[in-house]
Amino acid sequence: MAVLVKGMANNKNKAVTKDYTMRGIAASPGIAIGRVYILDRTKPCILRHAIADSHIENEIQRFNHALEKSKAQLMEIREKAKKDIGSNHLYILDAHIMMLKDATLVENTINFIRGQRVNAEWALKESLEGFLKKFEDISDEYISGRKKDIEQVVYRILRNMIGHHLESLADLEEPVIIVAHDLTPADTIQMKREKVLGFATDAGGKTSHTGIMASAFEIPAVVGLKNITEKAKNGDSVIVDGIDGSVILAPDADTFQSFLKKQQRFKYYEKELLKSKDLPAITKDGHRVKLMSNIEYSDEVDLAIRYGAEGVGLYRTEYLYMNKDGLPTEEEHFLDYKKVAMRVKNSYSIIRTLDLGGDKFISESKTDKENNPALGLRGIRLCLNRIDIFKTQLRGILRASHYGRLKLMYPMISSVDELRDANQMLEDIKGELKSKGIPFDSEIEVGAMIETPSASVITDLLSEEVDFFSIGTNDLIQYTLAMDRINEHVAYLYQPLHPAVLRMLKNIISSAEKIGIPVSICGMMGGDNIHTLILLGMGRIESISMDPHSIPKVKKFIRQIKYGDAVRVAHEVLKLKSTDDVKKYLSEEISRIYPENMEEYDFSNKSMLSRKEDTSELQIAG
Amino acid sequence: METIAVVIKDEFGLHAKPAFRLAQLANNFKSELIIENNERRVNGKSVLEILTLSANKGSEIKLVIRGEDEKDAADRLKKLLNGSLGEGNGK
Repeated sequence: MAVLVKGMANNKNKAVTKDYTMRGIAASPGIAIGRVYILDRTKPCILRHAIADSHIENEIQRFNHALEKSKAQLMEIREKAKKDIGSNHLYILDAHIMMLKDATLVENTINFIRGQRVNAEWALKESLEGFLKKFEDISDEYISGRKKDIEQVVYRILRNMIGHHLESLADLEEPVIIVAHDLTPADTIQMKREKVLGFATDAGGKTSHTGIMASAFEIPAVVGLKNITEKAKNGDSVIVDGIDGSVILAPDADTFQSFLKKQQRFKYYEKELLKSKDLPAITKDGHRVKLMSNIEYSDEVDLAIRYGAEGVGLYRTEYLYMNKDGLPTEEEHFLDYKKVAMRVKNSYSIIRTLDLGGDKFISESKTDKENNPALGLRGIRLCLNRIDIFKTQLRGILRASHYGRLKLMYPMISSVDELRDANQMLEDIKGELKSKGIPFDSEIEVGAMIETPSASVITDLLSEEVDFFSIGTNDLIQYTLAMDRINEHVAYLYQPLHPAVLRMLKNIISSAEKIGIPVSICGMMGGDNIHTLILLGMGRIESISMDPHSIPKVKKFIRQIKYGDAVRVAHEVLKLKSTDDVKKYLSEEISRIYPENMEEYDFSNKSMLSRKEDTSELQIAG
Repeated sequence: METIAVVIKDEFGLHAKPAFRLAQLANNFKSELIIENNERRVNGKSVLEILTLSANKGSEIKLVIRGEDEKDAADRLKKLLNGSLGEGNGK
């Protein structure tokens, strides 16, 4: 990632002096200005000492003592975690506690102290390195990923031996900006939220633990900065720009002033937008559309509601399968969806069944790797191929449907047969639950994602099998334009305003209207006001579902426009010949109809871009 | 000496969760537990060593238990492999 050096940076010293900008991934919007607090989770410096024979037992005792102390610390965090958060993170802590007492790690260390007559720290470091080497040889990504856990555990023991106080975020006294390599669940569990202004980390993507926690706590965060822990020093002033995904170290007076303004503007902007959060999304001439939220994990529901979402239009359930060992159980599915069902009152939530590629599951054979996963075994194809995975999820959804209004939706549908097979399985499970006397909503509505060209031309046939459609614009664009979203060489082809995409959308929406089946929009297109006029004007849309942060902005826009204009614009764009023509036409129309929109534009769109870049990080640790 | 042969059926192989359960149980017994996968042999009481076996789905692993409570240990390990430990099938 490019590192820009602005102003008079002094490159001779390693330490950063003035106004040094680093770029990463925007993980949670907002501007944080404050002082750096480096959370040091890196390797402590260990020296080798020879020890006298008479000291050997003493040294072993010191090691055992540090083990006990480390265990007590982790147990304490675990107790706290049990109260505060779900069982998902507890598992990681349990794993750490177990590694702490690992038979071979302990035995090797003690043997090393005896055999080499060295200090316990050095002996432990040596046995750690022995393990790390073995783990490096393992090609399995998941297992080699456990290296991080072992290191964290061993560093904790080492710190306890050296007598370094292991700082925790519970001790923060002043509000600060946390700079760290990455944050562990143990860190965020202990964090005093009011003392944390922002996060900046070396590692991670938008769906990493840090990214998700920051976004849930609404703390500005930039992740994936690669080496900010080397560049920043404790107490440095720093700016975290979670809108653009940049971090400025030691800002000079001008930069500081301009970000202070940007921060105020952003706060004002959010406050203004949130004022209208309880108002309906209705055009000046009385056309009403529901604005709903896309969410990636169940706790995001609260944020969505705060931003004025009228329900959940798309719950991408992939997070349940990520960053964990093994597949989620029926109970985990059930509890998670139940939470969503109960929190969304007076409306409904649409749970989309698993939409991941088979390459994320079939780990045993590397040669099986698909050349073109986007066109491979994914979405409903994977679900029908792996009935065990699918049925577990369906059971969880059905059971949760008893506790609030849920709808269910299948991804990547391309034929009637797929819908029939999936529905048959759903019916089987309904029968199973009924016979066991387990309550569920027997009238649960079922929908199909329309995101393949094949689905888009057989909507009349598909409509006989389901209750509603939802257009997944991200994939519809990818498949319509035959461009792989992950492939950077064709990234320029990701054109939501391509005439082919617009015609595709028009066909789907008009035919759904003719058939009389409700159709909604989910996917990133709905969160960007440049598309709003077209989407509204193409026909009767039940709802537009988007990133929660985009809802206030889109709502404000809708409340300023006329449906009549939307219909006219949607009609006109279909006559245009190229993406550029469409863009130009839309910008002109928007600035004419609603001139204020252009100013706000720069806040909302950059975060959308960084989200797009980040789709490649969505993968299962497994 | 008791031996158990197992084909790993769990989707993710002998990964962290099953490895933890296995080591946890093994530590309750006095007998030693050696786990073999192809040429590799590791101490079954160490979760870190089990992870280095890198036993994927389809791997045939062998558990060798030796010690005063080996019968009891073998019974319990079989149960674990048959039951809650993924879809393993102790034979």
